[in-house]
This record gives sequence, structure tokens and C-alpha cells, in this order.
Amino acid sequence: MKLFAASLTRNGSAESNSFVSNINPDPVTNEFRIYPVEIPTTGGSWFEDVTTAEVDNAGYLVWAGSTFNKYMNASAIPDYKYGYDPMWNVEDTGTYQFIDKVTGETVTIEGGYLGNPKLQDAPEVLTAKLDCKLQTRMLLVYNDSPNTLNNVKVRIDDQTLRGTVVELTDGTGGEWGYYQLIDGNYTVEKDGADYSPANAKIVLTSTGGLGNSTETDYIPQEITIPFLDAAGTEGAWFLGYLTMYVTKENGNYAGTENDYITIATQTVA
Amino acid sequence: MFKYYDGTNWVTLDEIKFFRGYTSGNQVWGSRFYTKVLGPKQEWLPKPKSTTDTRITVTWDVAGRTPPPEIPVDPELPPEPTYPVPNLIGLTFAAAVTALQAQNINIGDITYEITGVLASDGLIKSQSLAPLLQVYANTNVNLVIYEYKTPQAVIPELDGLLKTAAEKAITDLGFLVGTSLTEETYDTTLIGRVKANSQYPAAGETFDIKTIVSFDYYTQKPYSTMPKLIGKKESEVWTLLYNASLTPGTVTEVETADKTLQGLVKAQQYNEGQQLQVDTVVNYTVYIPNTTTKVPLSLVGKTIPQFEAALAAVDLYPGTQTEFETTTVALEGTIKSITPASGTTVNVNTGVNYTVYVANTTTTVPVINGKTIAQATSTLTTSELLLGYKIGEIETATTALYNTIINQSPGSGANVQVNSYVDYYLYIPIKTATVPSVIGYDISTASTVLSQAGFYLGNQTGVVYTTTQNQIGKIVSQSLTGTQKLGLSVNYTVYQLNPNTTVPNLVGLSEASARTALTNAGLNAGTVTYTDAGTSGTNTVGNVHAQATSTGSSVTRGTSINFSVWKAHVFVAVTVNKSATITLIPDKATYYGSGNRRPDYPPYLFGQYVASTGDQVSWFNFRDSTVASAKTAAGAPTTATISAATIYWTMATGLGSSTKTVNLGYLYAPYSTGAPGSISMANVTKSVQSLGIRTNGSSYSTALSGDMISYCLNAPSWPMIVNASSSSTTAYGGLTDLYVRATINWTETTYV
Repeated sequence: MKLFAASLTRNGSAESNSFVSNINPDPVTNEFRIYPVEIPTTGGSWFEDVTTAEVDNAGYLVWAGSTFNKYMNASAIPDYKYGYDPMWNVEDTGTYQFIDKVTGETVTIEGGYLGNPKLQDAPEVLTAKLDCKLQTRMLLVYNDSPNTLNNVKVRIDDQTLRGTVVELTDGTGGEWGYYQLIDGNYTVEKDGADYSPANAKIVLTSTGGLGNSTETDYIPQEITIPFLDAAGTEGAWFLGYLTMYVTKENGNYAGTENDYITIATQTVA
Repeated sequence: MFKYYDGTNWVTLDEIKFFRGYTSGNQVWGSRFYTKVLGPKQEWLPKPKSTTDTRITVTWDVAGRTPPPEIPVDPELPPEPTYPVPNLIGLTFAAAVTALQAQNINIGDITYEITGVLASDGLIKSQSLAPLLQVYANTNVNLVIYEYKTPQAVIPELDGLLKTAAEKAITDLGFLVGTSLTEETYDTTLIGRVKANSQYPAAGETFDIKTIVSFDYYTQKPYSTMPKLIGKKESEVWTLLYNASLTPGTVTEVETADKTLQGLVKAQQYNEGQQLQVDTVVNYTVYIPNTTTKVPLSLVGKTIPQFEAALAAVDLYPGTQTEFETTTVALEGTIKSITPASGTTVNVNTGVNYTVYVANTTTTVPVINGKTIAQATSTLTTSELLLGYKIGEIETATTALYNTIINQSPGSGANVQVNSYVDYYLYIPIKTATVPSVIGYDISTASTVLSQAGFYLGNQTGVVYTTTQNQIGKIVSQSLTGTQKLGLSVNYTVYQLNPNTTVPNLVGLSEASARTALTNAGLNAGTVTYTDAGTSGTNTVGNVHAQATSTGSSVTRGTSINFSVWKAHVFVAVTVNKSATITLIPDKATYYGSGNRRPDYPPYLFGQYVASTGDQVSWFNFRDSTVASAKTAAGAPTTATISAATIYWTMATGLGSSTKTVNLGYLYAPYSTGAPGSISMANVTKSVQSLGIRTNGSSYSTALSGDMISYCLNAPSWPMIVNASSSSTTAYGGLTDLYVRATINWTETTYV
């Protein structure tokens, strides 16, 4: 199994934060092509270093406007502002209490949603999650073996879960998908004799734009690819997305150096 | 990397070699070969899979968020001075304030703690910062101050206690006993005890001591004596009970027919002199007038006055009267029946309906059918009726029935007024006469004759056809003759003109004769059609040859008979387009080369056969006379036109190149009848039609162009030219076996 980053040119640079603005789609079909390139592993060369300004701008600010007449206990605000706790996938039965500014009543929001913070419903969680998004990368999966494979797993095998948290999602996602796929699927074209990494290119349309929304109200870490054709064929390719979110500050405002994720494939159960 | 198990531990090896067999007698060992093992399911493991799973680590740095602002510390300033916290415990609040202010320390939050010790009121109990603790100026110290309050106790529960016990419970806790109210009761378990929920303040509440606690308690309630009510008027009962502090209860009414008892008390709930609780409800029973009675017995058979008296005795009166007629005089004026029946219980002052016998006004009609007049009169008299009118007579052949009644009105069983009439029908003997003969009479006369004899002319039942004019309309036969019952109808048949005639034979007659024959037979001539008699001569023009209706058929007079007559044949001119094929062989030819004339036989040479001769042509002639003879031989006039023609030839061998181009042209030579001794090339038009590139020794055919046909085959025809495509000797050649096959067309007119 091989994993690749995406580039807008053959043997070009892997996608970066400016990837979306560099897309030049066909004016009629909105299609554009991406090319597999090696994933840069040098620090900050694929997922770029996150600045203080980016951290400050990201995150979900609860009830900042005039729409709501409730405010939150001051001690809970950091949890919301930098809401993506590393323990996102842990079910927390704790509660948050709010004080109604008009009546003075104490309002209790029960816990029990997956992860932190405790938002009122799933759509609000998605909105908060979207507000905490920092960067997105496409992950191209290629079957380099001569055999067809079933149920290949690709997962984030390890990550620091401190400054940021990264999720891995299926590239065939529906309305929440980052790209509008052609006929519900991406098309693979070739420049040479076969669909090997040196020749293949993935056709996408840019109708939806990159990272319009997220699909789940938690941070998925693993995808399962039901079927991959043998190496060199059109069906040997699969598309996934890596999305980075800011996490709750741990208190010392120092940030995290060498924040990392390890992506791994598993071809045999 | 490899490991093997030595029996105790797994030992790591760097590499391992495998024996691959012998090559040229030498053992061959190799390393880095993949191996498989046969698993328990007879499967070779591991199964085929991807080369190697990938594992990639990507890193980046994440900057921390902006920390909250901090208060800057100026290192130039001297350290802030501190002050000792004074000991405030036991001081008054004012003294504590003074002591704190002396140390530049502020008063923080103040809370109060209750004390029952009056002397501690207003003194400091505790402080938030320990005495002598060094703190910065304006540090807050929170204080707890004693506050005195009167001792309190919990109000006891008094419900159900005897009055004395309740008072003791109040005073034992330091409370005071308040004013008590009483409530009378007959309940011996409550008398002398505290009334539930009557105490104030309520039990369980905390109050200062000396608080007055009041409550209510129960006392004995006095009794009343029951007075005598029996025999008293009901109007006196309320006063008697009220005076005894008792309450009138339910009154039960009992009916009685005894007028002296009505309105008096019959019974009372409690005996006279019985002791009762005040306001006891006393029920009693009162006599009231009866509301029902029974219908008296033996009313049937009584006279009306007797009936009315018997009803009045029991508060009833006569109701609706119904009359019933009787023929028995003794019953008239007596009761026949009553409703309701005797013994029935009914409300007083209601009516009893009754039926009374009255003299009859109607009677039932008896049977008088079959009786004589005398017998019927006697029977009707018995039934108070009269014999009426004879409505009619019915004739009968039965002698026994003569002069007896056959039917009556009203019929027997009818209910009619007395002394009314019963009408009847009477049987009499039948009346007959001899039917006169009306055969030979017309209808009108026959009707008169029959009427005078007492009969009627009936219906015409048929006709008899005749051709005799004076028989038409006369009667042929009649249905009745001899002695018959008067008034019968006599049916008849009459003569009528035959409406049909026979169709005559018209075939072979002239049209005029045929019309006469039809007229004589009473028929009309219908549509006459005329048919071509043809040219055979066997059909006579003007005679009938067919008729639409067969000879001898019977048809209605006046029918139209269609028939057909021969007419003369007319000849018509017809033009026919005809065509034929003729074959034409040139009868004159020559070869023109260097002005020399050549023999007039094939091959017809063309081109330059040596370098010195120059370009040469042959011409061959289809003379007008030759073409005319060919047309005549084909049965065509010489004016027949040639619509198409094909030239056939064989390429001569041994001349020039094996293949060459052959062209046709013509020679302008009007009126030429033979080969001229010399021709001028100025009169030759070459290459009018190309016959294509052809090979020596092969035979060909090509359709001639319209120009070639026009110039060379139609009179006056010009000689046809064959020429080469160039002056090269390779283009030299000749034509043999040359002829033309032409299609000629003309028209012929015939009369049919």
C-alpha cells in the first residue's frame, strides 16, 4: 500500500494552505486534476506550522452575539473557545451551568454528547467543529500489490492530541464532502500506459470548494476501503481527507512543538 | 530478521539461507527467499497481500494562543509594606473597626451568628485572617459577629389532649395559656378534649417563650324531648318540632278513602317523650285523600242512569259513549260493554267509556239469486228490504232457469239502510231468426238487409281475385246462414281486381315492339340501355337482347321492366409505339496517311506507324442507303429514328503498344457516297468520343454518344473517324470486326 499527497501538477509540490486558491478549474465543467506526490515528512512541510493568530481565530465562541441572553460560567469559556479536547471521543457525563442574565436562573446543560464541549445539539456541534478547523489535506491511497484487496483500513495510528487534533474521513462523502465528486465518485485518468502513481491523475470538480463543512460530530480516525483493484488499474486508487482542528489549550499558552500524526495502512485483518 | 526457538528462548538470527538444489553438480544456496508454511487448514500462509503496509509520520508546530494580559511589575518601586492583622475576637464592632484602620486593613464581608447570651451581643466571634499575619495594606478581613436573640421553643402538639393536659404542655415550655373557646358535642370521646387544628400558633413552629398559645375544646351538648304528632294536623307538626328544637324530616304520604282521616298524622319516627339530640331530624307519615279507585262490578246491562249513579259513588264519571245497533228491542238503552273493565284500578275523577245498545238502521242483504220474483220479494221483506228494478235480461237455453234471478245489486252480505231496494237481472228464453243471404250484394246493401233481419254486417275476412269488372266489390261468401241468435255479426269475403300480371318475352323484339308488349301486359318500360353490337354481325342492331325481369314472372301491375338494346359498333384509331434493333456494317472505308488512299477493308488503322508518316486516321462509312435498307428489313419505315447505338470491335494485334487510347470522330463530307480519293484533315474532327484505353486482341463494345449517332448514323450521314491519342508510334493501332447495333423507334396507327 502506498499513501500520497495531492499536487496540482505532475511531480509538483504537495498541497498546502494555498491549495484551494491555486485551483484553476475548467470554466465549463468545473473539473480539475490532482496528481499523486510523495507525502512530505519534514516538519511543517505538509501540514503547515500553526501560528498564534490562526489559533486565536479558530475555535467556537459561545454566545458572543446578542441573539442569546445567556452567558456561560467564566471557567467554562476556554473549553468552548478552544473546544476540541484531545479526549473528544470520550463520552463525558459532566454538565455545564449557565446563568440567565435576565431572570438570574441557573440553567444546567446535561452532558452525554460524544466528546467535549457540551453543545446543545448535533448541528451546533458540527458548527463548532467547523469553526475549529485549521487545515485540510487530501490523502491518496494506492494499492501497489498485484492482488485485489478487500476492507483495507487506513487510520491515524498515533497523534499527539495536544495542540491540534486531526481526523481522517472518506473521500466519497456526501453533502458534507469537501469536493463535489463526479457522479458520486471521482474519476481516475492516466497520462501513460497505466494508472500507476507516475501516470495517474484524479479528476474532481470544485463546485463545493475545499472544506465547506464537516460530516461527523466527532473526530473519526479510521476509514475502511471496501475494495481496491490491483496495481496499475483505475480502481487501485482511493481518496481520503485529513482535517486538522485546534484543541483546548492546556493552560500554559506555550503551544506544541513537533505536533504529529502517524498514518498507517492495514491490508490484512 | 529471523528467530528460532532453542527449547527455552527465541534466538534472533540476521539471515538464513535456503537450499535450491544442484546446478552442474554443485549445491546452490540462496538467501532472501520468501517462504511459506502449510497451515492447519491446508492453506499456504501467509496469503498473497500487498507489498508492505505504509506508515508515515507528519509533523508540524502549533503556536500557543495569546495569553491573557498580565499586570506589569515595576522593579524600580520599593517592596509594598505589610501590616500585622490585629486580634479582634471579643471586641465590639466599633473597636474592631478602629483596630483594623490602625493597621491600614479593610473590613471584608460581615456575617452574623445568633447567640442566646445577651452579654455577647455585638461582639466579634471570629476573623478570616489570623492575628499577627502580615498582610498588604487594604487587605480585606472578613468578620463573624454575635447577634443576641430571645430564647425560643417549639409549639407543642395539643390536638386531642384533655384541657388540663394541654394547659400543662403549654406552660411547661414557657408559653402562656390563651383564651379558650368551647364547642358543644354529643361525642363522649371528644368531650373535654382540645379540638383538632384549633390551636394557635400551630404545633411545630418556633416562637419566643411567653408567647400566648390558645386552643378550643369540646363540652357536653343538651338533649330535646320528642312531642306527640299522631292525630295532629300536618300544619301543626312544624311548630311542635320547632318548639322542641327538632327538625322536620321526610314526610311519607298514605292514601285513605276515609274523609275524616285525610290530612292527619298517621305515625311518627320517635315515640312521644323520647330524649333526642337537638336538631334531630324527625320523619313522620300523613294521611292524604285517595287518588285511585276501582271500576264497579255489574255495570253491563244497566240503564244509563243506573250506570252514571254507580260511577259517581266511586268518584268516576261516564266517558265516551259508543252506540251499537241491535234488532232486539229489549236491549235498546242498556249498557253493552265498558272500558276499562270492572275491577280495574284507575285514577279518581276519570271517565269510563261505554257502549250502549240502540235500534238498528241498517240490515244485511240476503241472497235472492236463483229465486223467482215472488220468492225474492218474500226474502227481502223478512230482511226489511224491497225488491227493486230489473236491470236487464240474460238469454238462456236452459228451460229450468227461465224467469229466475241471475244477479242482484247490492250483492248478498252488503250492509245497507233498512227499506232500501235490491235490483236484479232475470233469465229469459233465447231470441232467434233466419240469416238472409247477402251473396252478390255490395257492402252497403248487405248491411241494410242484415240489419232489417236483426243481424249485423261483420268484418271482411278475405278477398277473391277476379278479372271480371262487374264482380269487383260484390260479396262472395258469408259466415252465418240458417236460424241464428238475433244480433250476431255476419262476416264476409268480396271480389277484388287481380293486382298482378305476367311479364312478356321482349328478347328479339324491336324497342318499339317491346314497349307495346309491356303496355299490353299492364307494365311500364323501365331504363333502356344500349349495348355495342360488336363487329361480328350476328347481333341485330335495334333489337332487344336482354330483359331485367324474367319472362313469365308474376309482378304487380305498373312495375317498370328494364331491358337492353343492341347499338352499332364505332371504330377508334390507336397509335402504337414500336422499336427494333438493326445491325450496321460499314461498307466503305479507307485509311488516310500521308494523303494516300488505302484499301477499304479492315483493320481500320490509326496513328503513326513509322516516324515519317505522321498522325493518321481511318474513316468508315454507314451510308444512308445501308441504314434505310436495314430499317426496311426490320419492318420499320425509313423515317424511324435511332435512339441508341453501340459500336462493337476487336483491337488488331501486332500494332503499336499492347494498350492504347482509341478515339472516334467524324469527317465533314456531305453527300459522300464512297471513299474519296483524298481528304483534307481540315475536314476531320477527331476525338469526339473516347473509346478508352484498350488492349490489342481484345473485343469491346461502347455506347455511341449522341453526337456520334447524330452525325454519323442519321441521314445525311458523315463518315466515322478513328484516331490515335497522339502521334507517337506506340499509339498506333487498328480496329477489326467493327459493326454498330442500333435501336430504332417509330409509331404505327391501327383502327379497332
